Amino acid sequence: TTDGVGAASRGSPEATQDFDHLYNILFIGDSHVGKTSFLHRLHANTFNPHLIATVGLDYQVKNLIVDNKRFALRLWDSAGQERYRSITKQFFRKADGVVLMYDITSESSFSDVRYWLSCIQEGAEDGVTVLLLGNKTDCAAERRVPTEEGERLAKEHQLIFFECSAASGHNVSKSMVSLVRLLKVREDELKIKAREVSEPPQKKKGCC
Amino acid sequence: QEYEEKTGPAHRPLSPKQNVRKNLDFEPLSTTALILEDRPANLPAKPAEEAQKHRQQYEEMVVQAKKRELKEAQKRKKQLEERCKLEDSIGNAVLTWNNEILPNWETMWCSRKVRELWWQGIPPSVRGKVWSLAIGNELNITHELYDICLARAKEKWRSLSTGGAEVECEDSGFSAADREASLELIKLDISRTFPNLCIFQQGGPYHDTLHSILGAYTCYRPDVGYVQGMSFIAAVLILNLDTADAFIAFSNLLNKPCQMAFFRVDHGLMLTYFAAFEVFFEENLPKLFAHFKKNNLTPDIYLIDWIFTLYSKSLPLDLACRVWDVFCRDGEEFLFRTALGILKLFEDILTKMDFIHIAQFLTKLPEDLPSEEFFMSIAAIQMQSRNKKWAQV
Repeated sequence: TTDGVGAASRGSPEATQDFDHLYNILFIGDSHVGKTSFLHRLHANTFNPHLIATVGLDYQVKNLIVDNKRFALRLWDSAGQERYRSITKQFFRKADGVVLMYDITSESSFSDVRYWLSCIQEGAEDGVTVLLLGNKTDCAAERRVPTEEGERLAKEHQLIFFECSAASGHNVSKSMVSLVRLLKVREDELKIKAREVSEPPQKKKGCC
Repeated sequence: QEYEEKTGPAHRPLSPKQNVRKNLDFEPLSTTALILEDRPANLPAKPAEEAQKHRQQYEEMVVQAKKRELKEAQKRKKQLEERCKLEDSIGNAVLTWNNEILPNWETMWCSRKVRELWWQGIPPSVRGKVWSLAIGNELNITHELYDICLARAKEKWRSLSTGGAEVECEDSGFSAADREASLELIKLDISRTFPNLCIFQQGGPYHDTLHSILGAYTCYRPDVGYVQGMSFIAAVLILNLDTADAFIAFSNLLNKPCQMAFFRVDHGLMLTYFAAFEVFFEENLPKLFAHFKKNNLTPDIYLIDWIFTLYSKSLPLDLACRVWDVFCRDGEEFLFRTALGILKLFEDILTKMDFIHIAQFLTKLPEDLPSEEFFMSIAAIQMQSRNKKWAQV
């Protein structure tokens, strides 16, 4: 666990009602960059090199405690193949956050990031929070995408950026925590805006 | 501490509290693990009354252990009998399929008797033959055509790996980049197909076979190409058929309207299938249907995975093969009937879950799915809605 972070126990389905905030997070990126492995690491804190290929969409729940707040994350794992993009697209709109992943050992997966960003722009809500992840830092010898290039791209598009490794666990929970913190900031901003618009202030629902 | 439960080499003394409990909630594994010993000589002997009480407790424990042993022996005997019976019935079924049905396929396959035997599951030794016959070969693909397609695929791989000039192919409408990506993707996906079986991975016995069939298909149907999910279908066929026959079955299977709609990601048609499915969903399981509606759980969320891989990814493989058996008999309708069977089987659990847990549950079904209950649940699904059959809806 990283600074102030703890994984809430995996309870029964009913227990997941015990959270302060709920976010839908969509995982996208080329096939085989490691989306499912990343989620597996996040969920089980192990690396499984023999994960089965994703077809369509997979779903996972992760409860995180960040800054003493309980977060329930609904994680949507999508199949990376081009053909599936028209299926994945309809889930962009439901996403509060998007994790866009590439593989630092594959130039093509990095150049496709721009394509994926255009998909986000097209399909997701304006101002959706995006986390750019360069996965497979454990394969340093085969690196084809320098860290600076990832940083530059992230800066250009105002994305959070991390390099990580689902195999070693490097930056896996750290990057998710950053995303969760930013999602929380955005939620708060939206709430304030909503309150300004609708006078008198509405009764808060569930949160805080 | 007079009673000792011997578990392996270690002697684990029971706590006194457990010892005096009338209703023993631990059951000794067997009578041989129970020994009544006197106190060691260096300690004062037990009072007669206590010794008597302990003897009585010891005897109770032995009686219970004996009862348990008897019960287990009976259970084992019954299991053995059931297994023998099952093996006998499979043996008989193999004979019936080989001697009666397969030689007279055209006249017999739709008879009531065959259909019933079919529902029980096709014995693995004749499964491939029955699938081949049932799927048919509308496309008239020959073994030679497979060889030609494979040769073309190999040529492409070679030119890709040497970075050579583009290979002229009939699929001029599709960009080279797309094709390359799809060939590259096949390579990556093969080792991610049934990784637990360890036979499709690099160096595994069926790695090259799977690679060849998928590669040959992209040359045979460049307009469809390789789509994720196909590797599972090809893998199941490879497990039951020789390579060229697996290719023929694969191509003909994918050519069926439902599979074509999905693998070409024809949204309009897919939505039509989902809508038809929902009609039967509401008819068969109105309560669960309402719960799904309330939670915004649309059928695409679970059907995509199930239909694309024909359940081979989400069901245990032996059950998936039995679903394939009946799918070969009844056609696409059975895929949707199976979906409803799954929903019915888990109706009680699902009605207590929220959106994400349902989605998670349905895309990763329990591995210990009970096969008989499962097929009974499918059998209970009526594929008739207001006197309309699947095809009409």
